Amino acid sequence: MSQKEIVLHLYRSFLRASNKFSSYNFREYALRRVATGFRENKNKNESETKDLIKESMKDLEMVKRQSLINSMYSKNKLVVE
Amino acid sequence: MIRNTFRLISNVSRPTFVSAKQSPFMSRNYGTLSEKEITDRVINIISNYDKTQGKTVTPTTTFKELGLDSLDAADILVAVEEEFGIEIPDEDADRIASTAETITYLRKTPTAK
Repeated sequence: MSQKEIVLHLYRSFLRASNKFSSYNFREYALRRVATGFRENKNKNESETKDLIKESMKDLEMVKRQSLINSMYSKNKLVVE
Repeated sequence: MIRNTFRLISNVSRPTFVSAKQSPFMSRNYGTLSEKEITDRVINIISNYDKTQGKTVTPTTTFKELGLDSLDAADILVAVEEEFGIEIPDEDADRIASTAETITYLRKTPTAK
């Protein structure tokens, strides 16, 4: 599997995990942060990307944990939703 | 009494048996969505994406023609997943690079709603 594919799979997993936040503010922030974070590091070289992939795997676990906790304490929807 | 009951059961069960026998000859179910509905919803998602504002999206446009990179394409596919309530496996998602391919994939996915 090429590095590009790995990054794309990670990106997709991040988006899916971020969408699971039940709170509007957390969800929108996570989606925005993921989108900008991946685009920021778009032109990094191979070894830098390798380190970033390792780092982001930890972050992905964090997003998954936090979105689960967030959905346990979900409240009413905001007016903007 | 027992015989009567048995006859009753067999009478009841017979019609269902016949109808079950016909099912292999029925046309295969490719989901309940019509092609037009899928096309409309997919085009709606793509044209509402930030970077495609002001561009015309037709069923034959590729993501490249719209100036989208692979990350943008991933954004769109996740939006499509949300809209249709499915999860596109990574191997399939890697191959989808145009509006037409998205629509074909959804046509082949019976769980899309």
